Amino acid sequence: MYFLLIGAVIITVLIVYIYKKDVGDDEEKKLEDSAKDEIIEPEKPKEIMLYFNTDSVRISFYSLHLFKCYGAKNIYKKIVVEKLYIDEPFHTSLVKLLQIYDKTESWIKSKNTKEIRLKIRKKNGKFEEGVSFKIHSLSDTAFDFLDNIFEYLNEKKYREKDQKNILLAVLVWKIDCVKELKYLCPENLLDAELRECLGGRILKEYSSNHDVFKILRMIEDKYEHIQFIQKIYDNTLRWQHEYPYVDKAEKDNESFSINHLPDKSMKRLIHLDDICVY
Amino acid sequence: MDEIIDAYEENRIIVSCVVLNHDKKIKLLRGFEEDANTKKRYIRNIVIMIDGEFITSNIADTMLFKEELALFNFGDKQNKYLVPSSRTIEKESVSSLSITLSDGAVIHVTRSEAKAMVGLWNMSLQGYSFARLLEFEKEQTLETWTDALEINGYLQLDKPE
Repeated sequence: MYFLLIGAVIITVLIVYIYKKDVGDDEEKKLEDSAKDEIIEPEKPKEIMLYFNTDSVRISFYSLHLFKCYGAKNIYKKIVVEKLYIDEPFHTSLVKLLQIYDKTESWIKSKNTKEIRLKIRKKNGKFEEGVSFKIHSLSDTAFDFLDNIFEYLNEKKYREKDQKNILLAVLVWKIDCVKELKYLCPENLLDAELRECLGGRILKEYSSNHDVFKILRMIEDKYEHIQFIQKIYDNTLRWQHEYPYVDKAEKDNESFSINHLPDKSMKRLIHLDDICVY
Repeated sequence: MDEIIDAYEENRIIVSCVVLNHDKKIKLLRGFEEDANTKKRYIRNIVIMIDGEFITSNIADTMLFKEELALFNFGDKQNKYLVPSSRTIEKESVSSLSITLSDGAVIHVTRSEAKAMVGLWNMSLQGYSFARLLEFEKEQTLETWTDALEINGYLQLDKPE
């Protein structure tokens, strides 16, 4: 009896096993068939639509009509427009300094000149006194100097931040020659003190102005790796045009205010190609 | 020689320098105007310059300076430019003419120097007519003189005399 029972159980188990195996084979076959279908008919890729921005890119620049001299316009085009140094504290600080040099009528005495003291009797019998010598125009010199410095920095591949600081430092270095701004600082200051006083007032919005003053001190102390500035300055001065000038004792000093220098609000959105028009 | 030339025409201005004394740096500047058409030179001004400083600026003052030089001993304290003074050199009292420049330097002119300078003055102006100078003396300003000096290279540092 027991053997019969055990045999029946075994037989049922076998039957169930065989049945299930058949069912499993069918499913595998189905899966394989479906896989074959997928390979044969791959899904079509989705079409992607790309929308290009065809509007002209406009950047906020200062108008070139802000400057009178060709030199200032040229420098602005080279540094700001071509290189796109338009990040904010630098852009406005540079334009402020450029405008000061653009407005000024100050001069630098030529190294190559004699002084002749003139005392002339006019027809009314009064004497007129003055000293005549040869001068260079400060604004022409400053713009040529900056142009040469910028070319040098490009060649030697300085970092962008260093380039900006050196350009500002170079402009502040010669600001003690601007006679129209001397009224802003107390009298009897040394040249270096006058530079720091005026530079601090003009660059008060420039965040890393301590770097600029550090470079200034390095120029004054004749650091070896910043000596190229002095060399380029001497070389620029050698090729500057000389003008005759009479220094009269009784000439009143002209002055201009630094409150009316360019502000961020004066910037306009201008297309790169239209920069010469505006 | 004495034709009327147009004062407004752009004639060339030539400043010519005669050194009267090298040690004391006393110079006679002659301002000529060259007629652009006829290429003739007309003297328009004579000026005395000592060590880069204009002492006189017109013909009347320059003539006074020259006469003070020529008179030497006969001049007195009323002299305008050259005042007679005495000084001692090696315990010996000598007389000379002295002039004080605007920077405080005092220049002494001895008798022989004065005589030589007067001789040079006479030589340097021979052959020129003074008629135009007296008739149309050009009124100069600081600016016109500076321009003339610059054009003729007197403001250049290494200008050969």
